[in-house]
Amino acid sequence: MDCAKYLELLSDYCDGTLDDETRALVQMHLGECLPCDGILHDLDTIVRTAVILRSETNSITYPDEQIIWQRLSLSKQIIH
Amino acid sequence: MTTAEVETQPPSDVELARASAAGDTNAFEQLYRRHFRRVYALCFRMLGNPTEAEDLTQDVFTHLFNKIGSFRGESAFTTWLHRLTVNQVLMYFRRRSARPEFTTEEGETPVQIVRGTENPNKMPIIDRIALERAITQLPPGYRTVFVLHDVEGHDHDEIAHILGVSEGTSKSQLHKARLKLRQILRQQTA
Repeated sequence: MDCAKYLELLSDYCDGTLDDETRALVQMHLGECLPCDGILHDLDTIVRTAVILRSETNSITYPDEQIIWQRLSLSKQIIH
Repeated sequence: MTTAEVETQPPSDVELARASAAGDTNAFEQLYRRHFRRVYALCFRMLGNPTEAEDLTQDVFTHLFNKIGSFRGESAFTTWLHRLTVNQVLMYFRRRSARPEFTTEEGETPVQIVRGTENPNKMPIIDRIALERAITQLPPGYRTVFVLHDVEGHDHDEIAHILGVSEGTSKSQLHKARLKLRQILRQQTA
């Protein structure tokens, strides 16, 4: 079983960008290869979590916006 | 909607941008406060370093201050600012001569599956903070493409255009980035 060949296709499989025939071949391989099926599961988990990050900004520690605003004001004379 | 409700509506981004372009610094400050976190988050995710992200955020808003008159309202302000931010980060990569390599990452070991050695245990649900931390550990080229595609939602055609690479390169970098993230996350949870 040529896992290396199928491994290269897993991101496209995950994104749904494979043609029907290739998709079917990958599906067949995944049905009989536990390691590749595990990798696909992990990639899919990463992609799904990344989508959540798009609207999620609370997982980041932010600097003080007031300090950056003051630096910005001084450098560009944005003074009221 | 009542007249009172209409009167208390906060100004839109477009209105604030127009006022800023006309020299209203209060309007510009409102835009800054409204979009600061979004801009910082994008800089941080693309750079993977809080100090650099802070400096770049300042650069982005400086650039925005100078260019805001060129915003015509043809796209949403957030889309326009997003593109402006990505461009500033890419210019920064070029300036510091550490432009992400969009070929094979030197020193990166290709992921190979040797039957019987791959841990069949599937990763559990990933903590968002763990993923955020893992992204910062990616090599710059991988990180840029992953953030643009999987986090920010650009397609490969757009990424190829933004980065000046082929779509194939963008796809290949994304795949390697995901595999590398998987490796990092598995090490974290081992």
